[in-house]
Formats: sequence, C-alpha cells, structure tokens
Amino acid sequence: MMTSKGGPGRSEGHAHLIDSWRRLADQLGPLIGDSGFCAMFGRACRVVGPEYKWLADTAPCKTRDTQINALDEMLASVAPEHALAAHAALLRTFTELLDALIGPALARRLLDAAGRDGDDKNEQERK
Amino acid sequence: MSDKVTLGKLSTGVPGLDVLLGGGLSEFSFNLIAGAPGSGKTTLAHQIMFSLARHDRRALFFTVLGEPPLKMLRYQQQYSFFDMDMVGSCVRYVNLAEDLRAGDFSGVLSRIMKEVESFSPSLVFVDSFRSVAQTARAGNEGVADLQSFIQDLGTRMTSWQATTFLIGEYLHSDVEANPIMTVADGMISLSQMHDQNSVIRKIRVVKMRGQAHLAGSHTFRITGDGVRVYPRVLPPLADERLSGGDVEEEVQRIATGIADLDEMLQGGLPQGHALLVAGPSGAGKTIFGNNFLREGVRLGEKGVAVFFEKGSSSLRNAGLARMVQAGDVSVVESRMIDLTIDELLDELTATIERTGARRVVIDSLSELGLYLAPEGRNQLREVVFRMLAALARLNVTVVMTMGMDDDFTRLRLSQADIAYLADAIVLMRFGESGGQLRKFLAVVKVRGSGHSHDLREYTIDADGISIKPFGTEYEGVVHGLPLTRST
Repeated sequence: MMTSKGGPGRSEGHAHLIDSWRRLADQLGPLIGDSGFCAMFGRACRVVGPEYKWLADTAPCKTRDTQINALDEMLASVAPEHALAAHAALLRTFTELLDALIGPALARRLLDAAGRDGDDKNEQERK
Repeated sequence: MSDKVTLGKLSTGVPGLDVLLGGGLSEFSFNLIAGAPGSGKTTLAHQIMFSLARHDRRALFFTVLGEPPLKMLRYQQQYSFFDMDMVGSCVRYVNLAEDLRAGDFSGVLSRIMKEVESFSPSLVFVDSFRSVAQTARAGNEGVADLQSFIQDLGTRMTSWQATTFLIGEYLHSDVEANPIMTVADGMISLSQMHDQNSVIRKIRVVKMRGQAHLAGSHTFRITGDGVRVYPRVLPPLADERLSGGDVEEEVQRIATGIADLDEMLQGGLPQGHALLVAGPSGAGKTIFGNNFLREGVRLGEKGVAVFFEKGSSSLRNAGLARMVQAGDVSVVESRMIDLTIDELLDELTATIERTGARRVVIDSLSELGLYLAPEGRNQLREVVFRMLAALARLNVTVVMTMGMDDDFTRLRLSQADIAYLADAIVLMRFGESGGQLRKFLAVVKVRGSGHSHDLREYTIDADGISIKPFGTEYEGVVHGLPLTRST
C-alpha cells in the first residue's frame, strides 16, 4: 500500500485524509486500473469544482499514486478546515459516481473492504 | 481397482451445459470460451464463476483491454446469478490493462502469477485473451512467443490446480486462435445465427479432452437468469423399453369426448398415443381438441392447450375459457416468432410437470411453422418428431390438429409427412351432396389397436361434434362428390 507523506504543513488529520484516499485507490486500483481511478477522480474534482475551484484545477494524472500526491499537495495548500470540507465533498462525489455506475450495494462492498483493510493495517501498526 | 487418475467434474451451473460437456468441466482444465462480440462469452464465464466460486474455491477474474471493468460489473450484476456477497471474498477482479500496455508476455505472466500467488484461486478467468495476444503481437513477439506464453500459462495454472478460462473473440476458423486451441483442453464456441430477421444463439463444445462430450451445435438463450442451453437430444426411453421393465398388457383407453368416435376407436384412444386430426378449415378440428380437453376435465384430469394462433381466439370459446380460469387447463401460447423447438419443449414440459396434465392439445401444427425461426420452419417434421418424443416420455395423450386443404384428387393425410409420426389419425373432409357441404370423418390408423374403417358423416352443433353411429350411405366422399349408393 502507498503511504502518506508527512512533513511540515500537514497535520495528523491531514495524513488521515490522504491515507483514506490511498486505501481507496489500493482497493479500486486492481479492479479499474490507474486510468479508471484517475478518470473517476478527475470527474469528481470537476463536479465539486463550483464549490472548490482549486480542486477543479487538479491536473490529470496517469497513475493513482501521482493523483493522490497531487491531492496531498492541494489539500496541504489550504486551511485544515477547508481541506477537510473539500475532502468530504470529493469523497462523497467519488462514491456517488461509483454508485451510479455499479450500484450502491456493490460500491459499498468495495469501499467497505477499503475501510476494513485500513482498520486492519492500523491495528497491526498499533501492535 | 484402476490406477487411472479420476477427472474431477465441476458442474457449471449453466442449465443444459453439463450435458454438452459430458458431465461437467474437468477440474484443472485449461479452457477457451470463443465467439464473436455479443455472443455471450462474458456472461457465460460469469455464470460459471458465480456458480462454482465459494470460500474454499476462489475465483480470480482478470479483465484486459475489452469491456471496461466497471461497465462489466454494471451489466453483469443484472443477472440473477451475480452474487454481490461473493465479490471481494470469493471473487476478485483484477485489471491487467496497464500491465499489457507496459510490457510483453513475460510481464503479463508475472503479474498474473503474482495475483494468483496472492489470492490462491481455484478458478482463473482472462477476459479478453485476444487483447493479450493482439497487444503483444504489436510488439516484437510472434506466434511462437504466443504459443510459448499460453503453454507457460497453462502449465502454471495447472500446477496451481486452477481451472482456467481464456475468453476471446475468436471464430473457430481464426488462424490466430490456433495456438490457443492447440494448448486448450476444452473449447466452447458461441455464435449467433442470423436468418430472415431471426437470430438464434448456438453453442458448441469444440473439444473437451478426456471426456465424451456432445458434439454439434445446440441452441441457447440468455435471459435474466443468464445462459440456458437446450441440448439437442431425445429424452431417455420409457422404462418398459429397458430390459426388465414392466410391460403393460392392457393399454388404458382415453375417452375423446365424442362417444361415437370412442366406439370407432374400440374404447377410446390408447393412453399415451398422439392423435393427428387432419382436415380443412371449418371441419371442426379445434372443437375436437376442446371436446378432448373438456372430457378430461369431466374425468378430473388436467390438460394443456398449446395454441399457435394470431391471438387467443380459442379462448372465445366460453367452455374452454372456463376450464382455463378454473385452472383445469393451462395454455401455452408463445408471443415470440423466432421460437426454437427447444424453448417450446422446455415450456411445454414444465407446464405438464407443474400441472400433472394427462392430456395435451396442440392446435395447430399448420400454424406452428409461423412461430418458428427459419431453421425450425424448414424442418417441421423434425420439430414435430422431437415434440412427440418429449411428450411420449411424459406419457400424456396428445391430440394435434393440422389444416389440410382437400384437392379431391388424392387422399392426403398431412403436410410434411407428419402422418408417419402420429400414432393415430382421424381424417376430416367435406363432401357435396344435395346442395349441402357435408362433413365426414374416418379413423385412418391406430397403432397397436383395431379400429372402425367406417367413413361417417358428422355434424357440429352447440354441444360439439355428433357422429352418425353408422357408415355413410354415400360413395365417392373422398372425391368430394358423394353419391348415394342407389344412384
């Protein structure tokens, strides 16, 4: 799994946000590939664009790793509460797009698996 | 005891397919599912996967440069066999598109092996394998590399004890598919036959190593439940045809609902017989069939009516409508006009088994051709043969009608030599006499039983068909101009 960059300007909450995207990318990547993930991510950025103009400017990427690194930079460049709101809107939109394509039940199943993987790994890290 | 290895058979879960395969898929086999785009390859593969997958038999589905995975999931989940609870735990999808764009056969193989080692599947699917072959061919690799890759893949999958399915847009004649066909243990070919606006799907097991499969093309349909195959085989023989089976000495007689006809048949129609009632339009064939069903209902028997008409005009008959509404008679009436005999038999058999019907009326064989796809239309005799074989196995007594125009120059009993398939024949005709168009009938044959040879006049009234209790006094009925014997 890809890991979140730490570093100056990034709170612990920020790392948590990015990690959730990396888990999502790790879960969906094998299924839809880098191009599929980046295409959906790009579309989600466009949809939330009217509210978060800076997200709409996200450059198209070829791999999910670079896509999330780009998001990491974007979220780090705004105030934490603004980053949290944008992250929530983006994740909700991404999920809605997935719901529309494969139905909420299957989408939930895939996304829950991403959540479970994250929890398992966090548990192992605590041990 | 034999030391030979026993091939484990996996039931595909696709109705009818195991019959074609000779009992199921051979475990650890390396298979190709081939066919043109739209022929149902991905659906067949998914149906097999969801039928076989479980926690101790996991499935890995590699998608390549064909249908985008999300769209595939979007459409495949519409089928009833798609079990979402299996996705993730028992069934995992992996996209190979990027590996394929980036690398060569060895890169693709190492990615496949990495996923196989990680998930330990017992079932592996690669859809579409043609993308793998074509993408690699765009590089510097040729047919020899492809064959080597396939062999390597086959060897590794077998070593992992995985039953493998390569899915590809190949036709049987494709040279490009040859290396795969050579290596594959099994090959299932799907196609669509387009003829006069009708499309019939066909499935063929081209090869299946180590087991006696059923050759030839067989019809299949795709419905909301997925693929259903109709093996082109006759039903098993009745028990009495087998050695040691009971032999019925006294065949039960079935009342036709026309007392005088029962007397001509020496007690009724032998149980299990198929009676052909042939005659021109207006002779009373449909009324004959209704009488037969009504008599069954009176005796507490269920019936099935198979209608091939432009609509349910037969149900305008109040008596029949009441029998249908009461649930004593079930109607099989297709609204499709590219029907195959397999589908018709499937519905007819299911209806008879569900209702426990003892009597079946098919009205009429003349119009059956209008409902059949061209393939069946041109082979009406074979269609009727298969239908009667299936009904004989169910031990029902059948009345089937057939329209026959009199030309009064020769005695025709049926169209398309169908008379030879019937166990009994009642022929109806018109004859002119005294300024009237009179009706006559005769029992032409009854297999295994004597019968009257009278040519008898009959009338039709509100109660149905009434037959005069003696042979007609006219001569020349067969020629259409009856004359009294005295003239």
